[in-house]
Amino acid sequence: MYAVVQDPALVKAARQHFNKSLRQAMLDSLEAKFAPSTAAKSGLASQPKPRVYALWQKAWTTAKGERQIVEVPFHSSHRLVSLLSISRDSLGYKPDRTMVQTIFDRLVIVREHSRSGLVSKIVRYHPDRSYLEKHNYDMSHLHLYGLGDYTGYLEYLTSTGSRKAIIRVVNGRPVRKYSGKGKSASKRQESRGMSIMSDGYWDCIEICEDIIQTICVGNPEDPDNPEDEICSDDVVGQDCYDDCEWVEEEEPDYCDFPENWEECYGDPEGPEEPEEILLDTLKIAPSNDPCGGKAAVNERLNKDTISSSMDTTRSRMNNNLVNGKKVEYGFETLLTDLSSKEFKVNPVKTSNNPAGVNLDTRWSPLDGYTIGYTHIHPSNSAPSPSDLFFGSQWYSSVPTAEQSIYSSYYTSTVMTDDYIYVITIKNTTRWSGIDLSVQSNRDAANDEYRRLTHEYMKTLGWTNSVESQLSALLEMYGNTVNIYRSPVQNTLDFQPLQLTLGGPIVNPC
Amino acid sequence: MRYKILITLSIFICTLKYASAQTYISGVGVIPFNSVATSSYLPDSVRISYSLALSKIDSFKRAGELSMTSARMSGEYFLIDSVVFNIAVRQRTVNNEFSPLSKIRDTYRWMAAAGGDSEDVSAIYYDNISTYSNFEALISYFKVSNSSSFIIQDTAGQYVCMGSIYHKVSDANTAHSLLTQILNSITFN
Repeated sequence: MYAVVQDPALVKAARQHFNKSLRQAMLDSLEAKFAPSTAAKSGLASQPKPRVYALWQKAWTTAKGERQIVEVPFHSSHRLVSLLSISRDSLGYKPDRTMVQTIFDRLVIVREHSRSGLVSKIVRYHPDRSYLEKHNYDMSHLHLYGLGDYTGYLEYLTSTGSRKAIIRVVNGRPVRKYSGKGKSASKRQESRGMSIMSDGYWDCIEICEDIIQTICVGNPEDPDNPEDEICSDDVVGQDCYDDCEWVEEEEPDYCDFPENWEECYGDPEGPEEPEEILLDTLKIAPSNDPCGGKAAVNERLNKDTISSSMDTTRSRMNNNLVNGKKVEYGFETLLTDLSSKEFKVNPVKTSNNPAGVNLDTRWSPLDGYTIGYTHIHPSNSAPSPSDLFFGSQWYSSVPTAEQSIYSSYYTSTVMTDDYIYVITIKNTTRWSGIDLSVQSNRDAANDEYRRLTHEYMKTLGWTNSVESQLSALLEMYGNTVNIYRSPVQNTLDFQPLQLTLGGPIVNPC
Repeated sequence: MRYKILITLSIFICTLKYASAQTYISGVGVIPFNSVATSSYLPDSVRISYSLALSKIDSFKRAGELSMTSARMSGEYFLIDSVVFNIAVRQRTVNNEFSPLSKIRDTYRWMAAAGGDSEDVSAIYYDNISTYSNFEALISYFKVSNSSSFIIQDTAGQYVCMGSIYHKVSDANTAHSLLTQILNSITFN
């Protein structure tokens, strides 16, 4: 499931990413492609400087789990466009130069999860003539999560214009893929590994198409140069690519692959039991006061459901090494009913990363309501700043009437060999205003966290960095979150921590 | 009346003396750097008071960062070419033993990457363990930052030094170069 939502913060982050990381690379690429030697071909008196811009006020944002997508109309004064006409797709006409102006670009920026950076690509829409006529040549409604009955091609390019693939789309669904990287032998070839699909293979032949070079000056929509648009175009060459067809074959058994055997055949003690979804109920109301919230934290973390998942998390981390290293594991806790406070836990998972695990946020009657994030630190470090703000970027997406449930029942739990830490929210306004899923914010927070930890180690003369880390966290965020800690023991006993001149101590509630 | 003037003057002088008293070294178990090692970069003449160090360090602060506090200050501070160099020397004991430095390096590296992808950390963060004349040192810093940190352990097993350099973000390259020069100049007695 996905949701198309307005997310100004995401658009802002995408815009910053564009201005900071993409724009210059795009311009450099255009400068190289449209070197002065091509000026004569352009028909313009002198070669204008390339310009690129995006219409951020028309951006679409979409969320799918923790995956966030921004799609924004994108214009470039200089373009190389291929007119696509592939016999297999039976267009019924051959596109000519008049079609060039109907081909438009979108900049798509994706963040896989709250802890990852932004990845960008260009998606070029080539609507079929019949589709254009059906919609009176108005394509402003189209976007990747609103394709509707779109019929045409989607051409995927890197942000600097290198083609990655062409997808034939009919009625909003992908039906065929062309690699667009051809120039290989024209004989028929099989190509495995071109798709994430595993139940077949691509059968390819090579074909070629004309390339149109377009150079424009001015554009009424260009915020910096809103003049009448004057364009010239010219055929400058041919583009060759593989024409591929998906051939179905019997799906191989996951357990046939040797790299999966350890999951399929278990350990010497016998196969692992399938993870059962257990339900339990939270009875004690939480509180944002560190002392008032202690009982609720202890109730929740001592529930069998949670304990069992934490045991699995610890076991997986210790036994399933990735490249010889321990990696983080974790799981989410979700309310299944907002009234009764019945809850469940999701299966334990990993992102195979020693410094993070991707945990999802859900807030719907169907999926449940995420109120807890638990993960384990192979490094045995105290929580990091990001651990304190898991999910803060989603707070505003929760319906206003239910935000108090999210913020009051919110816990972020960090497991280490010696201790378990639980974070709850002390000040919702401050907490929801800190978004460490944005890399620049996270880097700044980590820099300060590391600096303060070092200063506390230096001042207190400790070699135990954990106490210094906690001192740093309490100084940085002690007015925003509560930090509880319990030794690892049968019955967990969480106590709130507070900062003193001598370091963190238990708050004598 | 004369006595009254004398008493008032004495109180004023005492107050003035107290107000001008400055802290140059502090911290539990901290010993003066010059009592255990030498460096041409760290003579007493460039050592600065805690109050001056605090204001200088705060002048490097970026928007949103916490101010320096006396609770986090220790050791000695030196002002060298607009860079504040700080070092806290202690006897190397069970409570002050970072050997091997690679262990604390891994902790710091994890802190730099926390919440992100650990494979990408080298793009934003630097660390290095090197051997100098008669000690080894761990240096670490974010590449775009206003501070760097270091830990020194002498090879004779007598001392451990923790320190930082503070600087404007725009002076980072100069500061990193200065830190290397200072470490190269240090010799333990």
